[in-house]
Amino acid sequence: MSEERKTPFLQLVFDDFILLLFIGVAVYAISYLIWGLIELAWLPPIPPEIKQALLGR
Amino acid sequence: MAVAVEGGEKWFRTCDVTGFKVDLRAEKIARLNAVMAVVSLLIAVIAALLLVLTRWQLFHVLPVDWYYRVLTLHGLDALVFWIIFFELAALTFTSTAFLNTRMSSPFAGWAGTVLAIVGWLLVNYTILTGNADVLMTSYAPLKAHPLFYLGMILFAVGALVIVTTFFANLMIWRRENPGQSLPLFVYGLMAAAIIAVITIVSGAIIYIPTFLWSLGIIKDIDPGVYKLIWWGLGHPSQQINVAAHVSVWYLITFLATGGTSINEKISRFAFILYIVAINVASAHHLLVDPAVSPVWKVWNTSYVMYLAVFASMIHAFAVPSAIESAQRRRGFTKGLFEWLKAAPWGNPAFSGMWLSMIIFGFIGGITGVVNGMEQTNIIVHNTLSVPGHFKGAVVGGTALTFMAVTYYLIPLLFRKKIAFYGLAKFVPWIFGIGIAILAVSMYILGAFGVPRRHWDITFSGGPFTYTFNPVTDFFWALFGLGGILAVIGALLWILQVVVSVFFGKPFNGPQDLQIPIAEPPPPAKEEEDKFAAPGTFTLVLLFMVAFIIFVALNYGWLSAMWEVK
Ligand code: HEM
Ligand SMILES: [Cu+2]
Repeated sequence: MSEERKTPFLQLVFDDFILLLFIGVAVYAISYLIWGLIELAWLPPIPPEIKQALLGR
Repeated sequence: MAVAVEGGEKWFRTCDVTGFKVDLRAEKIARLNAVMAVVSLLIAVIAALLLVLTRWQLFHVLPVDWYYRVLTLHGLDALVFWIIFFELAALTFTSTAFLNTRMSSPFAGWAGTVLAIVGWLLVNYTILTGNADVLMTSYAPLKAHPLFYLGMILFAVGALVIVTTFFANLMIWRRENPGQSLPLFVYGLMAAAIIAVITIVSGAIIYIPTFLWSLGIIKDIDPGVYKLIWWGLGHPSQQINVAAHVSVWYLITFLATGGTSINEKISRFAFILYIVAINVASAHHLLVDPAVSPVWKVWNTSYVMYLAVFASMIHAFAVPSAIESAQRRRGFTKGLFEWLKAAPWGNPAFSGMWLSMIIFGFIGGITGVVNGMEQTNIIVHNTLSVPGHFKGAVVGGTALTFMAVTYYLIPLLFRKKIAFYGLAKFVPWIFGIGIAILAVSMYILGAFGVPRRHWDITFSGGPFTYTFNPVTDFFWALFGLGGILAVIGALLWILQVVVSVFFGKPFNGPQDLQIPIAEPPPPAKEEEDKFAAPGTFTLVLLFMVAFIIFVALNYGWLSAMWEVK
């Protein structure tokens, strides 16, 4: 076990694929997905007159 | 090395070429996935020929509905099935054989494979019967038959199950080898597998509601939301490919030249940059969408994404410099490029890899950065330049790399001799040159405004018509030439693989090895170390110059668009 303590910190991060998986998912989910969805959710709904004019009915 | 595992030695064979212990149960799963990949490629290539002969108006062979049907078929069988089945084979094989470990759960491996194949059947069936003319992106509110979405979901779940066995295999390996780092090649595939998780989960998030919508259970799918989440599948799946094919570059470099990265830590760091930064670039598919804000677009497509471009630049230096340094140690030290001239060009894995690096960097990479910029994107949006770009990236890059490494997989995974080995020398060139010509001519046609996904650009019978610059006729001919060459190359490769795997002579040991595996080069002498890779450095400078010229040209064209005359 004393060997393990000597492993440099950066190498521990590099080798920890589960940690990397979490980081990867988190960056993507926050920066792209959730932020993007919030922006879409904040859009005001299309006014009915415009919708009708566009759809022609 | 004896590996003590439950079940003992009966699961294993020892590879008489590499010395690896190969788990036979993993090997079978990998083989089936690889076969599915090749079958999918065959479908995609037949479709490609029809598409080339339809877009080229001189022939215009398909009627309009079949054009869109075949385009859907081509997109999914090439981009999704061929590539992902191949990756599933690679993940299964390498996470066991390369690490001398056992398959964590053969049952899960088989279950995943069967699910994926059922999904593949449903998707192909619904497309060919005219029930899913929605193109690869299947943008709502275009609606396909529910079985199409079910097929996509089953395929994704199957793939996710296999990716999970990959991580479980790594955990077994870690328990057996505490404190060790993964070999660089497997490390890169680990990055690919992480990106695969992101991809597949996004796919599930979007396809499950879309499936329910096609059944009438959900009333509406918001097209903006659909597009945002779908590209969380569509774009990162390309980054699985990049991480996977870069890993394979390191592998082929090692097998064909004995070269290893001159700085493994930096190469690993570059893979981490992929994991962190490459997926958000999905946003470049929404650059002209009005619904998301410019801040979101610019943040995701430049500030974050350039970290991933930086990572690619690291690999673009690391792989050729690994070759150069190995070759120089063998004594090929004259001038800047003797090492390259003396490289093993007769080895189809090597020539295929080198071509794929050039095509991926100079065509796929450069056009990708330009297409992905908010400003210059507007001049290529929805033109043939977009498929031109990804023909350079995913076809010239990923597909060609996978084809190249298959020349090693036929003896080492399938234990067969390569049929018509003499032909193999030419196949990567025919395919690579064909794709390069195809990609460049598509890109140029796009610059003349030719739209992608368009059946009839003469607009005959339409209320508006437009006549393209007559120069485009020349580029259409070039497009046809490149496309047909690429189709021939791909068919020859498929022929070789199918004949070798199903009808080939068995491979009985090192004496049957047709494709060479290089001896490790001698260690570096002290005085040679002062600049390990001047040739590679020159190539990278050349690349930078090409890049700058291309960016400048695009900004020129952009400003010309708004010029008032
Ligand atoms: C054998 C050589 C190939 C040829 C000649 C070829 C040719 C074509 C052509 C003509 C199009 C239609 C463009 C349009 O009308 O908008 C196309 C689209 C496409 N190709 Fe290929 N292709 C080949 C191989 C591949 C491979 C190996 C992949 C993936 C790894 C691929 C991925 C795609 C994708 C994703 C599209 C876009 C589909 C869409 O717009 O929905 N192609 N290809
Ligand atoms: Cu993309």
